[in-house]
Amino acid sequence: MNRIGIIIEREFTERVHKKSFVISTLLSPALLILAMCAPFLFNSSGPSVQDLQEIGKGAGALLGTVFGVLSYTVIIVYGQQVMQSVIEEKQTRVLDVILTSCSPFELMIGKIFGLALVAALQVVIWLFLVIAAKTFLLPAGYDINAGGISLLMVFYVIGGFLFYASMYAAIGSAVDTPQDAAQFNLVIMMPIMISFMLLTVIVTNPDSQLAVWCSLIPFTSPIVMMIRVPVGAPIWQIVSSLVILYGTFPVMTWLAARIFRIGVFMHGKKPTWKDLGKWITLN
Amino acid sequence: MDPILKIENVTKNYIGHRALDNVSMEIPRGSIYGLLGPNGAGKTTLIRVINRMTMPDCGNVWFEDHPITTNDIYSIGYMPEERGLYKKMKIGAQAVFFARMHGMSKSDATKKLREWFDRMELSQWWDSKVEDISKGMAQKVQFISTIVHEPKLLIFDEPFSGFDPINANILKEEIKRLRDNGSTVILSTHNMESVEEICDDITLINKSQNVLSGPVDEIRRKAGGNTFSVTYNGSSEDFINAVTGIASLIGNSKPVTGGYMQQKIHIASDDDVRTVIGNLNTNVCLRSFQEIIPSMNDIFIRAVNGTL
Repeated sequence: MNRIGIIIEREFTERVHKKSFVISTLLSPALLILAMCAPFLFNSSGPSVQDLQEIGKGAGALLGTVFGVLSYTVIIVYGQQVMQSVIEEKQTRVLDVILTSCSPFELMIGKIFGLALVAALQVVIWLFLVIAAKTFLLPAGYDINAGGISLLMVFYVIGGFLFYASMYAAIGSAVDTPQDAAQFNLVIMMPIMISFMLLTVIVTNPDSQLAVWCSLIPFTSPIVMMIRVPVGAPIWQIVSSLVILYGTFPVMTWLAARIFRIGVFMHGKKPTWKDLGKWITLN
Repeated sequence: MDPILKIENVTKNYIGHRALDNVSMEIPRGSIYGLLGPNGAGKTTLIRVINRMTMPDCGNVWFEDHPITTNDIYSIGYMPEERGLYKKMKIGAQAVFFARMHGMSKSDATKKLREWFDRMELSQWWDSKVEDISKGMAQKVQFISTIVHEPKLLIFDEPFSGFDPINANILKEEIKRLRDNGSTVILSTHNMESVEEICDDITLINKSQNVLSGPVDEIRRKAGGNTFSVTYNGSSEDFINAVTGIASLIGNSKPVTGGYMQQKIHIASDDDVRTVIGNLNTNVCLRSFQEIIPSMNDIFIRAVNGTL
């Protein structure tokens, strides 16, 4: 347990101290806020009450889109980082050294949670900036529960990351180079990409059967539910999708750990899907 | 003395290739144990078996008095042949990280590592990244990270590769000091001079098999096979008369510097050595009488070629 803590600490401090973290944390929301507020900034005549209701709906859709994109970005970017960091440790043989001081499982968990913390920090900073922007820039009378939605946002993004990260870690452990990872990567990204492509469909029709199912299935829920929440989704659906997401991520982690424990010691041969399957069942 | 590590009939197969074939050895506690062998002989595979990075197909590894467990592994120090350091992390910080992973507290690790960095003249690089320091310095960092938690058992895979002679010497001295302080050291190497200098015992692995095991002194003496080199002043006939019947000549006498002659002889029985010296002393003027002890390099080549 202590060793996992040390790994988490290293992943967190090393990444947060990087220039790229500071830049991406501050630059991305500036762009987002600009995109969100543009319609209001250019409308100087002042909105009527009816306009406000229209805008309110529009703003919900906009917020849904923004959160969906945010969730998608964080899961992909941080998931890839988990994979890259495992591949890098494998290439530099740091893995061989670390694995004489902890188990593969401890290493994998430490890495994933270390990065989850970094992602959480970044998302929280973004949300603060978004809420601040909303308070100062949006016209009075337009009201959505930004605080509550933001909190849900953090839960979905982190849940989605945890769900996918272990798979990225498993792939990273199995291959020797990022090139070898490409074919596996594509398959992992498929459901994430599909949820992203459904964005417009779901924003315009948030209560369709497709939207409901996709916001319950953990492969798509972190993105799809985030699109639906600002435009209104029933509480029972939100709760069940969160329960399913957080209930299935340990299953994914367990499966990934089975691959990881063998993959980290494999060198020189690019594994096939069949190999990965074998490693899961191997005792 | 009781062995700290015992390898029993370990066999490891890879697809289409047997990497270790029924290898056994005992590593005495408090010794420096050399693992020798040509490239691809199976040294690294054996180390990976000891480290539990790969499981043997059959055979056992015993640590102290029980089959080795992952917890035992967490307490050893291991330096792989291809060095493992984070490229973009400050070297001081990563040394602290590795030390903490081996159970040291942060403050304890920092204090000890500062001392080690001083000792190895690395202090000013504490906050540098690996990509900004020389390969030799990175090697030192790796070495320090391997030993700072004072493990009972240390495994170095080719520790001297990449070091210049001065730093290689520093490393040898440190390895000896670690042994003198109670650690057991296993090192794999191609550097036969360093084997003579620092190893107490060795195992030579060739084509996946243990072909030679034992204390270095004993192995060298045995490989010498009671051969002596005699330098003398006098005629070669007198020399031959003196030894006929008790020793056999190897080649002929050759003139050497100083106007002396030199002759190699083989004396079959230890008891005859005194007789030979006595006879020689009356027949020729003896300048030197010396047992020929082959270098580890010779032994290595002969063992690998099957002529030992």
